[in-house]
Amino acid sequence: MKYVSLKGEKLDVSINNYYEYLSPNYVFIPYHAPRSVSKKNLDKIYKEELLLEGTYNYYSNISGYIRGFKDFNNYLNVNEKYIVIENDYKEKYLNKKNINKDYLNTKKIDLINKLKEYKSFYTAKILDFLETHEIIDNIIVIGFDDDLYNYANRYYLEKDITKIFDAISLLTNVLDLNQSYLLIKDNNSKLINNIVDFEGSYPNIKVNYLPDIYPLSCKAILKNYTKTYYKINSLVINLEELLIIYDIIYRNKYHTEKVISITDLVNKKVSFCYTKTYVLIASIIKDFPDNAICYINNPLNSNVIDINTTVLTPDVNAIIIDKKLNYIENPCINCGKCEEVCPLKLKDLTSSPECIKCNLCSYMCPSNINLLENKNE
Amino acid sequence: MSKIFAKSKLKYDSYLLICIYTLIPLIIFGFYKNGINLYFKGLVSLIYIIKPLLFPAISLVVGIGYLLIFKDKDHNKALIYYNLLISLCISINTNIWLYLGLIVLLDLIYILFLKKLSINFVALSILIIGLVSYLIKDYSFYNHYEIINNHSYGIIDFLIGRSIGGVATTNIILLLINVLILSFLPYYKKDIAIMGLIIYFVCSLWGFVIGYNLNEIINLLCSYSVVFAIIYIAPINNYSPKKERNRYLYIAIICVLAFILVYFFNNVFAAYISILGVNILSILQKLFLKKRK
Repeated sequence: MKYVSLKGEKLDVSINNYYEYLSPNYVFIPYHAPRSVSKKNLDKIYKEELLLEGTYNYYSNISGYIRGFKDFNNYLNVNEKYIVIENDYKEKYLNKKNINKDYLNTKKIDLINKLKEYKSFYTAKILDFLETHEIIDNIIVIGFDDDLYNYANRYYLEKDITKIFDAISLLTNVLDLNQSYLLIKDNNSKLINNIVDFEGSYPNIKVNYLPDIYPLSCKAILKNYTKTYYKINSLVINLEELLIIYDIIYRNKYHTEKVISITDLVNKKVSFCYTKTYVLIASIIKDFPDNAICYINNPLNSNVIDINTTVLTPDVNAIIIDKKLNYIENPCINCGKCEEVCPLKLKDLTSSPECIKCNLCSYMCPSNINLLENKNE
Repeated sequence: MSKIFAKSKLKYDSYLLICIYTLIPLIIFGFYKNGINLYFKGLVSLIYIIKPLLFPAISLVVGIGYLLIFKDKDHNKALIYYNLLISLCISINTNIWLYLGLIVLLDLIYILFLKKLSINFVALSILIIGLVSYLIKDYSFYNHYEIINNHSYGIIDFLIGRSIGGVATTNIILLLINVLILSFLPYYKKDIAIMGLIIYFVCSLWGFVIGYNLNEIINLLCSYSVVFAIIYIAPINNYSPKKERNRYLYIAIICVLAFILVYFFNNVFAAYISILGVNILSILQKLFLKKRK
């Protein structure tokens, strides 16, 4: 089976194009009813204090004052209610937890209890896996950026490779495993050179270099390249989830900031922003070109967003600024490229329930047909 | 409603352009075989030399004219390529004015009606032009040299283009080089062309059973533009199946039908009748399946 590699614009990606946005005027925590709110309007709230309690908990990522509700969109253009918190710029904690000095003796049960305590939406999948799998074979960390124009994982790896290896090593020890795997794509020679220096120092971490194909993070395709170690009891996590767990174990810290890659295709530059989550996307974009559009994460399957009314939630990894494109849709010419490139070799592209919505079929279509949109209709 | 914001750099227009470029050596050979060669043998006048070039030129001009009128909507650029294919497949004896009139009319019918249907426009047009020419006067695919002489051609002669065929469709060596070039192109259905050539060649071996000698078999293999049709007309995207397994069935039926028409009936339009026949059958099958649903 021949897989496809995505070819985008050639951009100079440098982790030195970095800035921070850690003092927003307001943050907007999503209010998914029904859930109980622990605070009232105008109440003071502290950093990492519990704000919303329900199936998942939400914590404030700044200290400040509750200022009611407001309607905004998430990156899927779904309109939701958000609790507005005005920043007092003091970063005060109610009960600040110190670094866990005994982190090396953390066991699996301790990790499960901590994840249960936080009850975060973004670690729910990992908690569920840990609770349902008594025996874990290994950890597989997805260290590559699968989507086009996404560079957040690359930033983490180039900026602080030591922390990544330490985090994997810690998690490996916590879960009492022999071996863990870090998966990298082989298209970045600079990164590979950096990693090769580290590999030897962490004998329980093996780095595997995989081809630059899309969508490699899809389980069915990843298994083709990781046959020898990807088992039913393998814990597969991405870099960000790894760092969240590392912060929970080592720093007793809840996930309040993250690195976003901002790819500006109009001015052909890539920058990285270390920002508080739950801010408006407009506040982290420095210059937004005229007549440009903005979309999130995957350029093959995304929506145009209004940066002034869209909140940056933790599942946003990349912001892409692009020119307004006019793809004129033509009738199908029956070339069969859509079926040829489908990574799962689906028999009926338009109606198969197994479709993973990678949208590679539309990417290759010479008639500019958006097959995924037609399927949803 | 999600959208797509990145597209593959493969362009269908550049594919069509490369296909047109591969026709140029065939056109040059056709110009030599049906023009220069006949003039130097004293069989035609000086003006007649350019006739093999006039057909593709008219096709280009008409195609570009329609593109300017109707704009590049719904892959109208493909019409230029289809016109060129038609111009190379017709007989050298076709009347120029008749061809001009018919190609203008057929292109208009294509743009207004046929594009929505999946009827193989190239095969249909070649058959219509042949039929109209035949009705007007005796229509033959032999050029002035081929009709008055008894030749004794060998295998190499047939392979380099001395068999009976269209204006520029007989040079098998050039065609095989072209299929190699085309198989590297992303939108070319090379499985149809290569499987077609293999099946037709295997069918031709049956000629030994029915009493033909090697020379005759090679002559029939290289004649009547069947190889050209397998390489250029059968794999046209719009008219050939999408799924791989359907493609093999499609070309197998075409090749077997073409073989029967050539070997048993010496039909000069064998390739086009087979392609159009299978094409219409598949349209009817789709309509039948649609009604059942």
